[in-house]
Amino acid sequence: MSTLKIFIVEDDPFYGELLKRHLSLNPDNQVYLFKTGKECLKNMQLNPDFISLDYGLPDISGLEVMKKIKLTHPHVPIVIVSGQEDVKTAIDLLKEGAYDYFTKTADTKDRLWNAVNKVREHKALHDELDELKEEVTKKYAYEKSIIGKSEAIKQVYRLIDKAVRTNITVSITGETGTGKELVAKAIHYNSPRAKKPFVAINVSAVPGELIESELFGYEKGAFTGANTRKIGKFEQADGGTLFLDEIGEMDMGMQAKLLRVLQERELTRIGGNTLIPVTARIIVATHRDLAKEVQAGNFRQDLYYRLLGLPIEIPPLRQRKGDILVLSQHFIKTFAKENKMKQKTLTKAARDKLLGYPFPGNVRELKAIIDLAMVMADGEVIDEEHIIFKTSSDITDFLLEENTLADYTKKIIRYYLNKNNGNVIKTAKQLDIGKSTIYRLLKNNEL
Amino acid sequence: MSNIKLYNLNNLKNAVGGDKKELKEMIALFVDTLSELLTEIETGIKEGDMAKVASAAHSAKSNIDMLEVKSSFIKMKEIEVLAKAKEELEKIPRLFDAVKTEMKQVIEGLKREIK
Repeated sequence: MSTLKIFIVEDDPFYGELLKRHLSLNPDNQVYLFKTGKECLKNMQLNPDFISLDYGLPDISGLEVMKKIKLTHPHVPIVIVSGQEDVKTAIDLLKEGAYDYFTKTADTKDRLWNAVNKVREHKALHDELDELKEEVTKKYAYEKSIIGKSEAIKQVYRLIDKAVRTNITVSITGETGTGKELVAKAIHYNSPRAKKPFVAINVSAVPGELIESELFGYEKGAFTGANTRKIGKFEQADGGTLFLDEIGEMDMGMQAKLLRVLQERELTRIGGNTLIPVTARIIVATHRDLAKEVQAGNFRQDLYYRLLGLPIEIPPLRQRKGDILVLSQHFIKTFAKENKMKQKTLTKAARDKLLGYPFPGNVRELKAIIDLAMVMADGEVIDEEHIIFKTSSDITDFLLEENTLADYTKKIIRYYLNKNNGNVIKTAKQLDIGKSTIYRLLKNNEL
Repeated sequence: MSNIKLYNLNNLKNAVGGDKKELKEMIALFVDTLSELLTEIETGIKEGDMAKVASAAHSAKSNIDMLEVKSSFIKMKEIEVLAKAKEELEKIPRLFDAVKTEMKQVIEGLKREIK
């Protein structure tokens, strides 16, 4: 448990000593006793966590002492202890920022004890929150979260570096599984907004008729079923970052409303009249080419330009093959650590198999493949047979390999030959090609 | 003299976590502080300095309350109120004499506790 520094400011020697000794019963309390307001103010550099302040001090009134403390230490809880049961004074002091007001009675020491414990719990939670925020920041240090050594990834690092220094809107493009949200989080948690909220919403996952209330919130009674006020994502991200994923899926009507909010930098909740300022930074992402969507009339041009800001394009994994093994190694290490397993090594055959695959699901798919391989491999090596591609023979995935027509032809012939147990005549008949073509390819070791 | 104690040390015992040495120290501090405050009130009454009377009575009242000496607590509270309001000042010496007599017995009892 962390030590709590407590100031007791009390001019009565007996009463002051009594409170000091009582609070010192907890060894985690470090208690200081001061007899005057001036003495207390002089020692504020010790940064107390809690102050018990007598209202009727001989030199300066408790109220004046509190006001001076609040100027330099606005968050320190101050409990005013007074011999007077004066409700008006108590209310005035609470309005001025006192944490509580106790009249001096036989149980004051116990009430102080409880107040100190409450502050300790609050401080512990606050410290924990700070630690977690620190951890999150470390987690999203971009060299640690976005893995890769390719020039393409280095360019992403450079752009993130530029994005964190300003509030510019960022538009992230990339295929599914490339890590668009990771990039958005890396920008947020490395920016001065890191301690404010990061709020993400996937536009494609929210039904069209609900997206407006999700983003802007609504007032109680705004529509049937609106039983309580709802705070929208824009407000939740106050001072932080709002990440609008799959922005390309937003319908035209909603695009117009979003544009107006981004232009005015203020919104009203559905059914409300109050204008609420928009302070969140906006980061958007899409797997679509928005410029093409604009041309096709599916996306508003004015919104496109407002959102474009700093564009960051995350290349698909197949275009940065050099990162496949770096990432594989990273996922092996992470999986082993998380599951308290020994790390495993990839055999050459396994590495070749990975390098020859187009990864239509990108980094996300690679992670799933490596996780499975770590489970399937019993020994200390991951071999070819442990690398299992789950992707179907979907034509889109097949085409993602971006081979030449000749290469595709060979692949197709090889597939049917395997299927037909090497029967050339059957394969030629099925593919409606001459059997001599297959023999020639076999002879030249091209299959 | 009655054998019934005029005071209760439970609050003090509780404040020092039952430590006997600390309890004695706190009793001694109570006796010193209260004696000084009573002298201050007495001087204030003699000099007609009601601000001094009110201030000392204010502190003494809370200390007496800590030892649960109820009748003296009530009287001390009245002294503070009257001195502060500067009303019915003629009542103050009589109230103070009663407190002084009772607290003298309390102090004697406390001194015996720490012998």
